[in-house]
Amino acid sequence: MKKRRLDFLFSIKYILLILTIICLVSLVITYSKGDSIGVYKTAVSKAFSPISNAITGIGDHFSDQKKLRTEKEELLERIEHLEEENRLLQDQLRKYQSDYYSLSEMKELLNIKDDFSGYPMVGAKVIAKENGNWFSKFTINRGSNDGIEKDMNVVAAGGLAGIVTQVGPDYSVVTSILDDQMNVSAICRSSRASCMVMGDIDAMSEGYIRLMYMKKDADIREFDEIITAPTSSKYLPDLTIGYAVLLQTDPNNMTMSGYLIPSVDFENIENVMVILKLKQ
Amino acid sequence: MKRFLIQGLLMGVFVLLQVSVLNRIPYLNTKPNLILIYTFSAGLLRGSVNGMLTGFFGGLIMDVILGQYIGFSSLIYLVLGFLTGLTYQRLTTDVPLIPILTAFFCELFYHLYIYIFRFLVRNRLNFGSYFKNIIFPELVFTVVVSIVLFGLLYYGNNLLEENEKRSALKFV
Repeated sequence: MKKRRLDFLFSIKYILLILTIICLVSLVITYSKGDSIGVYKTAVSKAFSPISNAITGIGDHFSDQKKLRTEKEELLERIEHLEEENRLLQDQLRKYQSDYYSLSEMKELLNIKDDFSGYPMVGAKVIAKENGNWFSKFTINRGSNDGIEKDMNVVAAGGLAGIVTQVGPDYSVVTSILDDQMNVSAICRSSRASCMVMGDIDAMSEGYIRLMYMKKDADIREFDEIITAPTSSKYLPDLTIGYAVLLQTDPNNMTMSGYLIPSVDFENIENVMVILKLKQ
Repeated sequence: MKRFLIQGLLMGVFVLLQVSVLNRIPYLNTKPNLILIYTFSAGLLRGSVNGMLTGFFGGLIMDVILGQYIGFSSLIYLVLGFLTGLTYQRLTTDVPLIPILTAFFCELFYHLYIYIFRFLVRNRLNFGSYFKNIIFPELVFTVVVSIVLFGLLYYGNNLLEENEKRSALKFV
């Protein structure tokens, strides 16, 4: 009796050992490669993406039907529509503003074209979000079959949403700029003063992003528009990130830091666009 | 065989609930960790081997869908499945206190693991605010959900066990 029980324990320990080794080996492989293994990815994405897509579809279907039924919802839809229009107009206004700001530069640098609406883009739907609140990632329903590659920029209504960090055949994982590991070098749209946008969990829970490493006398004021810098290695220039708030001089009396209100509504993010152009 | 199929199906349902359905519920700032609940339930109700396998595959799927490093959450779920499985048949499972306590300690363990290996190693030291903003809300939510979910799994398991006994008798 005693012997049998010990045998049972041994077999459990072997299973534990084998599975732990599998985990550790794949951890080491993915860590050293910086990306996950293709075999796993295709296998799961084949099974997972269509179902997840379908669920998103069903959810959309129901919410659409509901909206048609009740008058209140219809009005809400109209408000949404107007908001959308408003957003488009704001975008247009922003574009004109940016045109205005860059006009003087344009005269000198005629061949630089920095209008992001000119980039080839592909629309995508958010089909899954990160489990838990430690990280800020989401999965979209487009992958390498649609021309998406790692490090491509993702924009949503309003501006920069994140960057593609993992690509499967028909899905890809986007790390949003709110994530704790994200750093984006940025500039102020009006004064071209440089700064750094850094994701931070503490700020994330309040809906902010950290804005750091500005010179103490930099010409950045509250609610100035912050855009991606041309010097950034991964991000295309002139994408809106957000608006600077709560600026204050750091204790070292040399730099200034503050927070950024992201221009993208990350709470209700559903549709995004992937810019099919990598920064060279 | 029947149990194997049912468990696989349930795992699929939980994964889909976790990554896509729960996101569609408005005003929900935090999500309960269903995979964790399922893992420790399997451990408590079916023993270490079942708990380990459930945790391993659940974690693997979650890792592939959204994780950066494959095997990272797989490992912690595996260990949690193993540890909860050690109490199998030594602990009565029909008291609500059991899932509450297990969920509490498993969540705590899980979050500490993430904090230490993904944040502390990058010199993020303000554990207090992480605890307040991330760990605590999810912990409470998971504990609450685990009472209901564990109850359902408990009854489901009882039904299956009776069914298995009956069909075993038939063959004898």
